[in-house]
Amino acid sequence: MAGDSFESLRARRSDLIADVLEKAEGKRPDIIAMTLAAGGNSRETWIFTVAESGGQRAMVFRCDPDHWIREEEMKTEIAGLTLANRAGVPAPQLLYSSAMINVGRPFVITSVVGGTTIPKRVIREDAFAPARQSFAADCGRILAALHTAVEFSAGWQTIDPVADLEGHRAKVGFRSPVLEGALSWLVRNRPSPIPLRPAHRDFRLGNLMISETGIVAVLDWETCGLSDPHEDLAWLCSRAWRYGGGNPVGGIGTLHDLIESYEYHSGQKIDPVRLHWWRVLAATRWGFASAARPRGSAGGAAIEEAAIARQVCRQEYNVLLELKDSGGATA
Amino acid sequence: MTRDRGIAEPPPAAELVALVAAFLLRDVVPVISDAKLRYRVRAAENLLRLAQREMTCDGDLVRDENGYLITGQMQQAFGTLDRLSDQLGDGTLDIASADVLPLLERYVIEKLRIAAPDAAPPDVPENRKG
Repeated sequence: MAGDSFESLRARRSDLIADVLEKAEGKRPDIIAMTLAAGGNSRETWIFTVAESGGQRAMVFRCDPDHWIREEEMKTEIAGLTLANRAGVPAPQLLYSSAMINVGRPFVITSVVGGTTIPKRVIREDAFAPARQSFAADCGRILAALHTAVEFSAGWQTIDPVADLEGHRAKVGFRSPVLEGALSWLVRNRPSPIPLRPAHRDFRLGNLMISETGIVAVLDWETCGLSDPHEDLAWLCSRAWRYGGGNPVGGIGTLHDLIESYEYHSGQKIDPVRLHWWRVLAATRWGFASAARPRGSAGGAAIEEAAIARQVCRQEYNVLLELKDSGGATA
Repeated sequence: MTRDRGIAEPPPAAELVALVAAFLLRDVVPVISDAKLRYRVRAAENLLRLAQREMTCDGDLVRDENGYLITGQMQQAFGTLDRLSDQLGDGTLDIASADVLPLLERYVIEKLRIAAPDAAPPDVPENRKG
């Protein structure tokens, strides 16, 4: 809402949370603290605390900003959290959602998980050395648990990755020989279909809550769907998500550790040629997603849009590096 | 009105842009308390630095007839970025082929030098080929 102050926004969100908890628990809660988590342009994440007899209870409330309500994405997030909770994939515990309680807009309330999602802290701080040590193997184990949880994925959507890219391309307002050439290469070199599995599809540093000892929770399930399991491994290894780290798995770990752990826990072999195709797709997907950001705002928003548009060449470079790094390479 | 005899010419456009960028960073950003506005002013300062680099770049990029940045070699071979994009998009050219990929790599590196110099590889002779 234009001109909406932060205090006004917080008051309205506090009312919304109270409405949810009153419907769910039969008593209007006493919300004694509420902070907006940093980051996340596409979704608001509020950490709030309610007073209870004999103590306090902290929870997380997530909803879309008022100007960008995305009902389907929240339904997907709810499906993802539900699967994760049932299948033993580390994730916040889903407590209440718009699938259970109608308050006029999509939302989730989850448990609070400790740790950090800030990639540079995880990559650089000494305290996170133990987490870094096991990061790639932990990712392999978690992805194996997710990809084998087929029995909990009834009703999940199948995403055609090439059609998804073509949808992004249609929104791009300028030409990119690199992205258009990569899309054509992806179409011509597409691997044969294999059984699809539940996949996160945005499994990367930044969407993982990490403590000093390891991965605590997988967050941001709004793009999950049925896919080739290689997609999650390739996305995790994208150069865009290494944050200056030198190693392929989130800038932290080795591809060998990731694949060894994944194959051990899932019983499925990773095909290096197929993985290479998905790595090219991952770089191209992020390139198109960056290039397809809307333009045409005024003022400060236009500044941000222009800055993003001029950074698409970073993604184009990543696409070329992935293409140069033919199947089976470990960089 | 007295003239400053130490300045022979008015500052050129790139210098004007650099002056405004420096003013934003040194004088404006420190007094902004609103985090979002501060972020956007920093972004504006970065865009001005980018524009300054584009104005003064000594690389191989030129503007084609449609206004796209393109390397001289690409212009010689394909004329416009649109034509090259069409041929890559319809499969006439293979992006992964040994004659196309280095051409595109040179082009993207030149763009990185302007838009994201931290992400550009070192300016070594082999990166100047192609």
